[in-house]
Amino acid sequence: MKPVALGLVVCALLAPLGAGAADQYREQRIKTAFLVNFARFVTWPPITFRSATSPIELCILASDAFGVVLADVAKDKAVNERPLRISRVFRAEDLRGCHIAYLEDAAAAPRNLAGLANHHVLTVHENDATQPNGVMRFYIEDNRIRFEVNLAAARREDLQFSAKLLGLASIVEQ
Amino acid sequence: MVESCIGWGKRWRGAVQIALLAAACSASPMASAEAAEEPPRDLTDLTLEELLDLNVTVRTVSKRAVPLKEAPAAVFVLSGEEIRRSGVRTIADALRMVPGLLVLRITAQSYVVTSRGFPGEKLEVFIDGRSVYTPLTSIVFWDVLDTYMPDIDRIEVVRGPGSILTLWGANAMNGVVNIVTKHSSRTTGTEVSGGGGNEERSFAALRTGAPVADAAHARFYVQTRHRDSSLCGENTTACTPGKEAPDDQAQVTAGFRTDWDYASARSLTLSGDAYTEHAGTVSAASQAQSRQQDTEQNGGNLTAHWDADLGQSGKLSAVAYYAHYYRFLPEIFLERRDTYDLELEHRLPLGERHLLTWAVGARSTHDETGGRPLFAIFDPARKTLNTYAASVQDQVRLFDNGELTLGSKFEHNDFSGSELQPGIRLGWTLGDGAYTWASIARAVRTPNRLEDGLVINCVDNNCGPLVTPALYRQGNTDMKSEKLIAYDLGLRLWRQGGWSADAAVFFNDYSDLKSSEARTASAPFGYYANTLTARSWGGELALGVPLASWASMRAFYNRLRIDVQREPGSTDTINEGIIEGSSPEQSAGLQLSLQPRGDVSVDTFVRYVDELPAVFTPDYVELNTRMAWRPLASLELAVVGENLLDSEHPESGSPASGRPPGTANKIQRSVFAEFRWTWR
Repeated sequence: MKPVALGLVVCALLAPLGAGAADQYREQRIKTAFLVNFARFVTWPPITFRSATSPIELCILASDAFGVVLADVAKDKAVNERPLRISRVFRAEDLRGCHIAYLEDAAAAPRNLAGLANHHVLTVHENDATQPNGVMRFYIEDNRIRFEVNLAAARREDLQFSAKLLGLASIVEQ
Repeated sequence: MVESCIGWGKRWRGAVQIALLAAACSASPMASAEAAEEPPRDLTDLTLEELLDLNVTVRTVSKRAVPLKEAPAAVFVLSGEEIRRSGVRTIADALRMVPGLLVLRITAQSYVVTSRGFPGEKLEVFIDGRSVYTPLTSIVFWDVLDTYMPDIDRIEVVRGPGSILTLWGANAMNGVVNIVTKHSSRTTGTEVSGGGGNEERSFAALRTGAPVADAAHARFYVQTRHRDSSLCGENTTACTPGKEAPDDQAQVTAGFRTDWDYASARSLTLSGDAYTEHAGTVSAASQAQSRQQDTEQNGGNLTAHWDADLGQSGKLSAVAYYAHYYRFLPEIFLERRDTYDLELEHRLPLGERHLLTWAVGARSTHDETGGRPLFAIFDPARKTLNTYAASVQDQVRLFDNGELTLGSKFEHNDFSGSELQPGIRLGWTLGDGAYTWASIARAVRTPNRLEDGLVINCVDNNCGPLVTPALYRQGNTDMKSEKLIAYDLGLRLWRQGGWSADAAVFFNDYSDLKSSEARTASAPFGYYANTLTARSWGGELALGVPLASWASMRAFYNRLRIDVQREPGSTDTINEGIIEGSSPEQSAGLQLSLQPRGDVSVDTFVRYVDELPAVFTPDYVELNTRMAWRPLASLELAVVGENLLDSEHPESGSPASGRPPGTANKIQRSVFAEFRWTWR
């Protein structure tokens, strides 16, 4: 949907103000968009789907800011002929049945990632360092979001990455 | 609040009634805009390459969309998330968390909200662009200003004159509060919530939203609340000292909002609410303990917003609304009001450096007052007020770092005629993480129905045994507008993603302030005039500190001094003390938000308010806290405690002199549990 200007009373100064306020979740919006995009370029083992039409589960373990952002994301997304279901979860254990798991808490990432190993989950974390159990990692460079793929972890989780995605990522083997 | 409306009622209980009338009233207005420059909220249709190219933080989304930190005014935005996590049940209680605002709860359901002194008046309040103060008394009835709280996107507050910020400026002298609800595409799904406790006896709400057509969404809510009484003061004669006051409140509200984004850059929003409330009389008239009738209120509104982005030709928006409102305080007064409002605004970029904004509006409001027997009568009993407003302003970019805003508002009203409210603002970026601003503005508060035509109806001994039963006219048809020249200065410092500090100082020079002059030495009631001047100065400091990824802290401190002077010849010996002594010299707040686990959050808010000598209210510290747990993604359970440090405390007493301390109603400690269940 497009933004709605609710500026009914004249508020030339506050209108800019509104924009500033509305933009406070920009980083979360961009990351959410990345996560949705990743689903298009990764293939999961068939065992992770109950049927040919069961959805790809994208799960977000994150602060309330993501909750605000997710409310704005269209609910009827489809990826490679499967519906994409996005949900926010509140405990690391709940990430196990997911295809993509985003872990916002950088400090807790090593522990949370260890619990997800060998569940065929495309994990995306925020730790400052590559994690042996983490498949992907976000980092910021030059005020832009970048992502890293840990090929060793991807192979262990049996995830197939498209060449296009790998071409845009920075690659590590750990 | 209109404490000062009865300057001459010294020894008479009638004074208390008027003070109560004032207390029963509580009001304010402002509106603003969710900027049309806002980027798309849903970025998921962008390609990876496009995403890799996006900046994480955005200094200027477009040339004109400055972040909050670079707004040239004393501005604060309270997010819907902060409101939800605080556990507050009313909009007025949420405003306690805003630096520079003073919120006084007078009875169980009535509040006074103030910015920079003069409790209850000189504050403009808008909800989705609709002004909600009553032209009868210039105050906002906060108890019926209600919506489903989780649907509030944010509350924007500007301290200081909103005169070049808003089209309507009649009441925006000391500040503007703008409540913005969420776009209906963000409230799809069904939500059921409810709870109860010792003071918030019970509350329940249902809200459901869905896409209704291509690019159109809608939501609907209905909610009820039942609030318990406050406690009678130990020295009051209006109710039994130390017992529950007859001011408990029951309310039902329902409303809807639809948003239709019908073309690439056009949108139409329709919204409306309706409510009905029954509450005990705010404080029964002294002789009326035997007949505790309910205050009755009901009302509703219907609002349409239309927005169009015309590209090179700027942005055009229009709003039209109708609002109906009825309030009956047995034995005190009755007001029935219908308001029609139409506004048009155009923002036009001129070249690289200018943004010209012009707006026009017209408002017509018709009231009926009366009923019998009533204490406050209005002459004439029915009146239609027509107001026409226009504003024009230019924002000019200076060099690379500055922005100058020059503008004025023009308004014609039926009381004081034409009013001019010019202002100038300068904002300057001092580097990465530092910004300063300054402004000088003229603002007015136009007279209201009370000041123009209030008549005190003394019958049946209701003004006290010493007052001869008669009609005493207190209104003055020659009332002028109150005037203000305001000087403001501010500085903001911040570290990206880290701490922030926001400081603002002000000096306000008021003239022609409302006063109460003696008619004769022996007459019990005087009449309104404009014989006071005042100077006020002070400032607010707000800090934000992220402590850890799971913990953050906010704090604020407010300072205020008011010095009122009588003009030569004035006989008003009362309002000087009332104005100076009914706002706290200092107040402060500290907010701590913790999320120790993903599914657990703990939020605590401590506030301090200095003594209010004119209303016999000692200083106090109070603490609110909310602990929430999400056992399931769809379910949240919480326990909330409010005013936990004292079993009861008064927030504002009656200003009538001669009344002993301890007559104010006391607000009690409150604990309640709540749940919220959401289906997508």
